[in-house]
Amino acid sequence: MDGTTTDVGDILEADRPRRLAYTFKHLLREELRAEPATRVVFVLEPHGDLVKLTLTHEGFVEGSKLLDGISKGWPAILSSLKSLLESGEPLVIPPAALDIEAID
Amino acid sequence: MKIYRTVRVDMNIDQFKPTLVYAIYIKTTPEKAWHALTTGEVSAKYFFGNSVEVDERVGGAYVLRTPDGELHISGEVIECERPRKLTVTFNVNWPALIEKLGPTLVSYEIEPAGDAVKLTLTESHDRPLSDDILSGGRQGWPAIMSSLKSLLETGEPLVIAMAPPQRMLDSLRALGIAAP
Repeated sequence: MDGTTTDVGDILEADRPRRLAYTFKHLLREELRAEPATRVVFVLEPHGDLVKLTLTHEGFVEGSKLLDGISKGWPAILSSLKSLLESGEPLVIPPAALDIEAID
Repeated sequence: MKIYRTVRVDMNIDQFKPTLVYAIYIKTTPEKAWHALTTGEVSAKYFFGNSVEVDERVGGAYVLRTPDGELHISGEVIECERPRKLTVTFNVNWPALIEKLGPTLVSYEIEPAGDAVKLTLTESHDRPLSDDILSGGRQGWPAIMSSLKSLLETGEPLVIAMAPPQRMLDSLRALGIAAP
């Protein structure tokens, strides 16, 4: 929360309000920094008066250490986004509850 | 009332491989999440109208009924640790389905996470199945879990109109399974 850049990327596709794709390169943690950039895709589809949001994050190397944190982080982020959009309040999820190996 | 029979399938849980894992954080308590997963009047609101009945003990029956009372899913409780873990066999009651596809295992895991809970749904099978067959769960479970979260957080479920994926129905029919 101190303004440190944790991840960077380039926009690959931006088709508002349907599709957003970008590269994702982690910068913060030494042991994860060597892994190559991965790819994030958000797809938004109307479903009646709802929206189906599908997130795909792909391109991890075999045995990726980043994948553990990514797999545990996204469900918390997307869950909080849903709460925020539906109720006006995000979720407060303690980082320790995510059980991410790279976060000590 | 329909008479149903729970078929006990000889199975080794370790043979089952996850085909879908869906984790969602919900602002609720583990007890309320458990209640929602195991109570018919609640499940009818978020599970496409289906009412759940669970005999909460290992070997007990697990059943889902459609709004008109028809048996939709029949299974058996494999693990039951209120309010942390419920594992059941989850077999769609379509003729020949279990003979052709084998049993389905569904597990709900509830973990506290601050003032929320992390609910993890896992669907597993004991043999490889095609993406066409698995498309039903991949389409349905996110809708069910999303509606459950809305219900527990706002008091209102989502209204999601959804038919089974055509590719799944076609694939089931090709296997000789009489999908409705």
